[in-house]
Amino acid sequence: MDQTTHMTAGPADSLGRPIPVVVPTDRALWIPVAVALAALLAVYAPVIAGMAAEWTTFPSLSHGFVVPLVSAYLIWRRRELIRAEPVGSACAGLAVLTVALGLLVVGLLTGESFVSRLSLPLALLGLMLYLTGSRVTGHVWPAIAYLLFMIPAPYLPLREITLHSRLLEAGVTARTLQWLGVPVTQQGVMLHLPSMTLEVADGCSAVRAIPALMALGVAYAYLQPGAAWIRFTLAFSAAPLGLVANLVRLVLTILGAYYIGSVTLTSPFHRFGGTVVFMAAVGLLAALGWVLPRMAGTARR
Amino acid sequence: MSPGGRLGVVLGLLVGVVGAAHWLPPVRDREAPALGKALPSALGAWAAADGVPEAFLPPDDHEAAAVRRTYQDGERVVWISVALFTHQDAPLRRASVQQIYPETHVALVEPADLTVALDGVSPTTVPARVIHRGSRQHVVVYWHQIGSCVYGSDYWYRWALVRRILLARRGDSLLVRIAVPVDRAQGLSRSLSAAAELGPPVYAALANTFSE
Repeated sequence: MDQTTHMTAGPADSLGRPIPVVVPTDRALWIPVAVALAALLAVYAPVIAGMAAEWTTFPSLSHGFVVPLVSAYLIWRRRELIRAEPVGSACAGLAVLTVALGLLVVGLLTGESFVSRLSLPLALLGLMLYLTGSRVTGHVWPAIAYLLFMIPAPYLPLREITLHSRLLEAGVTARTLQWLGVPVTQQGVMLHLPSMTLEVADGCSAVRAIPALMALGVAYAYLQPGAAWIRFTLAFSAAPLGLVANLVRLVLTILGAYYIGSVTLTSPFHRFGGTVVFMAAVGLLAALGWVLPRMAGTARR
Repeated sequence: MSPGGRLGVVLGLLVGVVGAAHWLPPVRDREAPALGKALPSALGAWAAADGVPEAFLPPDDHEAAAVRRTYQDGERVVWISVALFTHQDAPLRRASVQQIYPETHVALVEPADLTVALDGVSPTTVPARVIHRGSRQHVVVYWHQIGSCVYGSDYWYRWALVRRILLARRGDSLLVRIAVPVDRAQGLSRSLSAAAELGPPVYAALANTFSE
């Protein structure tokens, strides 16, 4: 497939000589796709720049920089399969692309950044369907869908979920501490110890780490060999593992504050709590990825 | 259609997007009307004084204009804040949800609601949040108002704002907050009834001033 075109015999000219017909081969067919992709990304430049600014500003969103790289890697892994497919076209792609670009316009004009951001993977899907057909798109859609993880969650529901999560985490932490013999009372997100009152603040909640953990869990599961149920379990266990790791961190922090003193609240363990939870969840996920295939093997035997 | 033709269609669509985003007229909101005049200095038996305690109704950095008054009827106290937000096609100029869900030093933000006929005819359910700070509690009843339309749900309000910005090229709305201290002995319902008493006249005054 090195040459971009080849010639075949076609209709004859007035002298009876065959007119060569240039038939584009696969590589030539990919040129319009590359041009369209470049143009699409140029149109989306302000949207991508807005997301990048948030990835830079908020540490809990910094995984956004990695998501497009993982997505590109997922496509690269399937390059042979993609190359083997005939490049075609699906008209449904034009409809999808039109809807996505409509959402982009709505998002840009109204300042609803989540809408314009959400339209990017949709536009990519529509573009691929329209310019390469359903066979090629069948191989690239997981990588496009993975881009959803780079989009920061909309603020309004995130705020409500975070509030509920803080209450849940404060409640579970208080009960665990009471079970461990610590005299703690809970009032909403406030945990009252005899010597101090601690607040399960937004930064203490696992909610903000969950999108990054889900992105990690899905990528890890996708790249794992093995049965579908194992991959499914791995993909959906990253978020609960993060929640559990965060609860352990909260309990340990308050145990430290109660037995050692408020100095533990300024310790690196507490200050870099998000990183600690993330790393713990990654470790637990890796452990699960090791255990599940062995459990499956044992069950088969 | 050939690959080149399909590329042409895609490029045409993209040019259309750029055109729509740049050539539509900008959002034009009317000059902020005198909010102070919109909110009466007396509502029935309630007499008003300017200003409210910021701890209960904190101002929003994004307000284009605001009026805050303390209404008193005997021992009963109600704080009212009406804030105008304009050019909300820019996310940074929208009413901040932080004023409804305070982020820090609040033990609990408990959801509640209030059903009241703001227009005197059809009952509307508007949201309320019971804010617990230490041993004190207060309830904040709030709604977004565009002309005579009231939006209790933040999501429906955003949807209405999207339609308004797209179709009318207007991005202004009001955020009305009515805060009432909660007396534990008398319960939340008494606080909500005070808000229900003042809600309709406040709504009517704003609907008149900000009629479309």
